[in-house]
Amino acid sequence: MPAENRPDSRNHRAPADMPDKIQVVEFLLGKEHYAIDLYDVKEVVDYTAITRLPNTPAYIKGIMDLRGEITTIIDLRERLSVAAEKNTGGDDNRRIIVLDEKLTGVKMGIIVDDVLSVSTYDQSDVDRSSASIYNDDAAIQGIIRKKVRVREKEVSDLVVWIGISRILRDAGCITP
Amino acid sequence: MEKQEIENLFKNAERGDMSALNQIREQFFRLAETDRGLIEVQSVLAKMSVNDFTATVKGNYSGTLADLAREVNTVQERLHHLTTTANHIALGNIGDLAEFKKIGRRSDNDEMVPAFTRMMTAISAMIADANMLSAAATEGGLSVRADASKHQGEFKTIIEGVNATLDAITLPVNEGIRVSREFSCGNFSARMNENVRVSGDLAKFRDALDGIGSNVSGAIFEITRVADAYATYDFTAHIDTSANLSGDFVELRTSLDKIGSEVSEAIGLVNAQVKNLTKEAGETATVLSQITAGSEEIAKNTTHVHENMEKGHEGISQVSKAMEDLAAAVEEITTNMENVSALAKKTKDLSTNGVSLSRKANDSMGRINDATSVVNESITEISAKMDEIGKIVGIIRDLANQTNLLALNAAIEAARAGDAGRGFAVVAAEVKSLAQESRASAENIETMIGDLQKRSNHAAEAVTTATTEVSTGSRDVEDTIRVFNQIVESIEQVSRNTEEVAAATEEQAATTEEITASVTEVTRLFEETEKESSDTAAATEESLASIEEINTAMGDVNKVVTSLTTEMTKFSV
Repeated sequence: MPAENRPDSRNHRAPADMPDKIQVVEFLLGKEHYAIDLYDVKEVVDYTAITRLPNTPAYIKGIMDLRGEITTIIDLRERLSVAAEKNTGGDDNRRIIVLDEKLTGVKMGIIVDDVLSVSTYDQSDVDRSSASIYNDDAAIQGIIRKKVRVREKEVSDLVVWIGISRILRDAGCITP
Repeated sequence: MEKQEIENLFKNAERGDMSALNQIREQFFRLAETDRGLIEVQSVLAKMSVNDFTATVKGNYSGTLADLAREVNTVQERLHHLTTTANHIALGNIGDLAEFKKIGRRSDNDEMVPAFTRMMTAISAMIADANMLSAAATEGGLSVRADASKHQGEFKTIIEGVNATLDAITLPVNEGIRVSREFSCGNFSARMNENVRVSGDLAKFRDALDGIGSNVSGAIFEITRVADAYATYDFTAHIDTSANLSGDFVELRTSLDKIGSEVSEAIGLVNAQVKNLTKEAGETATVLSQITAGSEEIAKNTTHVHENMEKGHEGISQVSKAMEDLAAAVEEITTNMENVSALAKKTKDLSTNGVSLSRKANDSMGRINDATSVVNESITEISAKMDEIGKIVGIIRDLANQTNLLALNAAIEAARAGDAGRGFAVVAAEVKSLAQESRASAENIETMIGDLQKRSNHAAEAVTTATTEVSTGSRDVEDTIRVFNQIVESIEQVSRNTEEVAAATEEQAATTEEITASVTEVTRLFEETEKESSDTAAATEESLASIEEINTAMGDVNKVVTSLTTEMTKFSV
């Protein structure tokens, strides 16, 4: 795939002023931690009533009214085939990440299990080498090693960094 | 001397040769001697020619004549020896055989010595066989025969003749022995075999043996016939007078005939007696069966009486035992009654006490009831307040969530704003952490409130249960008081009854003693009666047994008479 066609190519341009850093929004899907680029995110909102649409794939959750604008909602868990964590109290406890309109062209959001934080990582924390061996459809950009202190010891949680624009384009939600 | 030599000798003598003359003279002397010797030899040979072997050549000769004399003497000696041997043989002495066998033959052409040897051998063999046969016959071995084939010519004829003689005697004798042996085994039908040829004295022997056989068999046949008839109880049989019995057999016949007639007579008498006996035995049996029936009836009745006595005795014993038990029971009742009296009094006191205690308990119950309703109200109030707190905490948690969301969005905005938003990002992070803390606290409070509510619910339940229990208790206490009052009443009743029972019991004891005395008397009477009845039973049984015995004996007699009668019918007299 040519570099100019990659939707996330902007990410490589964006950190031109701070080339050694990436900024992401971390969220939860099932048990695992995931991350998408901060610049792809517009805002985070609570889950509200969603109107279902007929004859659409299972991952198209439906549409909702966000401050007067019709917004298409995609269930990312469904889209990435991630199993739901047990004992989560239904859809009411989930959150919707509203994506940047510059990326999607239309108002669009993704449902995740929870939004955790906005984080900044060094490029050295990201492992891209193994990304190529994963299924292309998952659009994994890299694996982030997140250092966490557990009982006075520093261990790494792994965060899956995905390219959201690629996923949406493959799903036919945005035109290339 | 050759003729030419003699011619020469004479020629020389004619010429006067003295040595030749001497030679001629010598020759003449020699011829004279020869002539004398030849004359003696001739005389000896002349004697030998007429079998006179006594003379021998006695002259002392030389040269050829000496040889001749020696040969003639040898011939004389040999012939003389043969003559002697022949004489020995004639006298029955064949002792020279060994010597002859030793000589064998004197020359290849000698037939004389072998002939003598063969002759003596043949004679010796014949003597041996004759000796053997005579020795065997002496020992009784009549079956021994000589082998005639070993002999030749007349010798063979002699031996064959001897064998034939032996056969002629031996066969009849053997046959006689066989017949005698049959007789000794009791088979008097045996006779001499007609194929055995006998003659002369042996014919007499045969006739005598056959006579014994026929006489004895005839007698035995007749005796056997009569004895068989006796054996089948036919004593009418007699020896046939036409049977020609003689000697000892006559006596045997007389004895047998006598047995027959005497037995016939005796049996006739016995028969008459048996008939009488049968009749009498029948009558006796009828009488006996009547006696037996009567005795059995008595025995049966006696047994019944005895059984009834036993039953009666048993019943009275039981009554006696029951009376004793009754007396004991009456005594026990008296004792128990006293105990009951004491217990009744004690119970009455305790019941009165119980009533007052129960009243006090009832009062306490009422007070507990009041306290419990107060507690119940308080708990209900607390529960209501808890619900309110819960609602407030819910609001706090929602607020914290909202704040968290706002802080997150603020962080996103700040980050997108780059350096310009960096300060704001810090504030947003701070707000976010505060919001998270608030949410955590709110969640803690919620958990606590939940716990408290559970507990206050438990308390409320416990209080409700207590209230129920107290009211139940209250009712129970009232019941208890009522029961106690009833007990007091019952006890008073019991006391009154007890006194009545005591009075009745005393009367009963007196009556029981009287009854016991009567029963003892009855028992004694029963025992006496029982003893008597058992004596009677024993006596009856004894007499029954005796009758049984008589019956058995009578049965035996009947049996004997019956069999006797049956046996008697067999006789024909």
